[in-house]
Amino acid sequence: MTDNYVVDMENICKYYGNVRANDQVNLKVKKGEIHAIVGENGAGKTTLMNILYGLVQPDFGRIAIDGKEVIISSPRKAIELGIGMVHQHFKLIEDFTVAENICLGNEPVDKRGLIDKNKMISFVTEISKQFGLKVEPKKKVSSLSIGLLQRVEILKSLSRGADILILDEPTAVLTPMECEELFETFKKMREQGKTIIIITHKLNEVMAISDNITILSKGKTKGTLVTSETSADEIASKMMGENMGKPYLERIHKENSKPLLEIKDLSVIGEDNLEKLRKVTLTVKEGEILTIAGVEGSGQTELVESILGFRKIASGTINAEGINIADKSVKDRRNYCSFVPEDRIKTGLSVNATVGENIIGGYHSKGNFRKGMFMNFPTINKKVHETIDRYQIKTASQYMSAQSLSGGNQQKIVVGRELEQPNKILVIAQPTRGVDIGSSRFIHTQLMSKRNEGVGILLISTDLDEVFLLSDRIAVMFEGKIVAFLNPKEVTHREVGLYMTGAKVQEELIREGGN
Amino acid sequence: MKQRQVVVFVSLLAFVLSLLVGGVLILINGDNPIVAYASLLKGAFSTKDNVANTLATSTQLIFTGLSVAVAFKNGFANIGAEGQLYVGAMAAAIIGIFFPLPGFMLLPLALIMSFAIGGLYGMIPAILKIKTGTNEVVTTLMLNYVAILFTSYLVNYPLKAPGAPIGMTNNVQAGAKLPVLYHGTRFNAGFLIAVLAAILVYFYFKNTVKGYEMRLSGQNSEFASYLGINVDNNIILSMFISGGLAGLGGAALVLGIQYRFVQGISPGYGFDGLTIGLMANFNALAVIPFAILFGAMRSGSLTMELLTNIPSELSSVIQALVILFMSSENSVTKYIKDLLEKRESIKKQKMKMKGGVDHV
Repeated sequence: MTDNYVVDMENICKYYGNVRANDQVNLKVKKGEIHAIVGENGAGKTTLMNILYGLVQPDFGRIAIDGKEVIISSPRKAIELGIGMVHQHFKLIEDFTVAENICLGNEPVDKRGLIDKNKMISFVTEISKQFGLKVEPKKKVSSLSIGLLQRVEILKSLSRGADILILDEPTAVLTPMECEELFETFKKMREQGKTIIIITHKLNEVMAISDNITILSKGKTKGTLVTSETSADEIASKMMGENMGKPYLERIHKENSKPLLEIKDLSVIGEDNLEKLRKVTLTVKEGEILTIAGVEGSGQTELVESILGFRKIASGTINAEGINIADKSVKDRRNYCSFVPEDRIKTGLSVNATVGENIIGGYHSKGNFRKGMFMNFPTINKKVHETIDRYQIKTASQYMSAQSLSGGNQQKIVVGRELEQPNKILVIAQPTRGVDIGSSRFIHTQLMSKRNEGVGILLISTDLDEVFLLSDRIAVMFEGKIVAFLNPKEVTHREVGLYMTGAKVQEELIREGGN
Repeated sequence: MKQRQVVVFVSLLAFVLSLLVGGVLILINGDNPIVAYASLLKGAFSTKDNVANTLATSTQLIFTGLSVAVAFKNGFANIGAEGQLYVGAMAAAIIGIFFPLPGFMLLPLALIMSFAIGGLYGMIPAILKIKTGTNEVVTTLMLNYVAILFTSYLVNYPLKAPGAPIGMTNNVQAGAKLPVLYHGTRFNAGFLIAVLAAILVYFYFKNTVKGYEMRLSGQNSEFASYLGINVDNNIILSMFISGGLAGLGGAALVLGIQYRFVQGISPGYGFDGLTIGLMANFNALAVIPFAILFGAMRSGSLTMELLTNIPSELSSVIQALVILFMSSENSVTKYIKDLLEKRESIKKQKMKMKGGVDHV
């Protein structure tokens, strides 16, 4: 029976202590298909794929590749079996060129035993042609966009003879354009007989690209569906159980609200002496979500960093609750602004610290949380427990290290920590990037209720669905300038897209901008 | 908890592997490694006097191990404990020799000044890094030589004891000496101060606001600064404490063992501290047993030298091997640990495949 399937995983179990990461999971993938594995964060998708790639050993279960039962003891073994994996966080060496990265570990050598660069470049050019994935072999990896980095990763796997390619959340960091290109790539690879397994929780993508779908929930298989015979709703309800489908955001309207965060004529010059922000002017009012929409790298990062005090501003003012904070320290600014950074691993938390230590960060030195020079643990622990409960952070205890949590739960730590601070202003960047549907909804609900309480929220998001879902107003940023203020009720995704790519600019903003 | 077990396992495994490789070196030298290690052990622990001497040596090592732990925990690679120990030792010697004070004031003052001077010396690389971005590994390492050579100048010229055959000062006043705890040895009250310091450092990181901030900064400085923590100030403070602890190690050496400053007074206690801190995973309490382990090697190796043909430098060789085994992330120890873990689960899988599969 099994010989129809190129990957046949049966009864896979993997326990971490009492946590059943995988509990009798089955996965059957046919040759030459695009198979999506969907599920909440923490549903066991990544564990299952790590098992298939030999990074993790299952406690029970059997794996057959091409109908032959195997033990995949290491990634090397997996590669021998023709399995390749593209991780969510790319594993490339920034100082190396594209060709050097692709050939890493398999460098062609000349007669003297030295690396043969020309051969390397021609090899990369050849496989790049073969699979229709265009790259520039001599370019340094550090200069590439995220979409291209991913392409290099894919080529790296293919160059090692991968017939089965696993991609963990491949679209999480891509722009809509890059996503489309990636899907084209998938189709091309499918035509060449490659089997593709993608881990994702974006259902529209699953519907658009996959042939079959395996659904995981809480470590168990919830069934395998044929994409053409199902709908996003059916998948979602299988993934989430019963609490799906209800509208979950309530927006309370408020009149005469005061401005909280006022930014005027803010300009920032980057390290490369280019203007990163050009006379940005915007106001976030009480009880409002103002969203900055834009293609990544349009100046959002610089805007956030200037507000928080991590970037020198060239000119302009930043007022919080009527007070100029442009010259204040980060610590002082944090008395006005809560802040959720876009990259939670790098700046949002310390993965080596415990859950509790991460939750208390930022107000560890305030009010009742300290007693003189000491930490006041009774108060701290109370706060930590409250936050864990309120934000439904799934962890065995507050003493677990943050890295043992799933991405969605890590994000809940960051969001919980920041929303619990008694500030009137919240700056939040990509709050649900790489976060599963359940956690996303939860975070959205929390944001909306903060908004309804009167907090002014500056949201930075590249996810247009999120932008439309949450915003009261949309400010579109392009090349460091705000090119449009839009009302989400009056515009379409497409229109916002036009502004985002610079194809359209609101006239009055050009005049004001002065450039 | 599990993480902690792994850390201990890796440290001990590194040590055992180093002993094995050291044994091979002994064999090549034409000696019997078992006899050699037995004599080392005997020298370190066989009599009460030996134990006392082992603990006496460990005293300095606890201080330098703590020094390293404090700095590294805050993410600052302080390779300069040796130099900080030298300046601290010099400060203790100067106070102990020249200040006409009664004992109950003289000894505390000498200890405080050795801490302060060691701490200020430790702050130099911290400030250099913050202001100019210099790599602390380079500056702390180089400042070791500055300290060793400068103190060597002092004891050879302005502070040289009249008629001394080598560079050394006069003896410190009796009131400046650390009380001996076990007669006939140099085991002194410095050991108690070292243990106390370890406990204080441990609780400092565990319970104080600053300690928490330093830990976060060490783990992820970018995150810490996003929280509003002043990472730079914390680095300066932690290097003051780190340098101060190494300085106290110097004071313990001058006021507890030598009673004077002798040129080249430390045989590398600061560098031992690096190994000890590393093995203890920068945990202040864990520093104590590892410091005693290395103290035993230092004092035992002298006996070994007497009983066999093996020079006492073997203990340095073993230490170097420990660092080698521990420092590279994909080291032999990690390989062995992973291998053991993996073999276990593969064995389980194989058993599953042979026996019935489906009784899960």
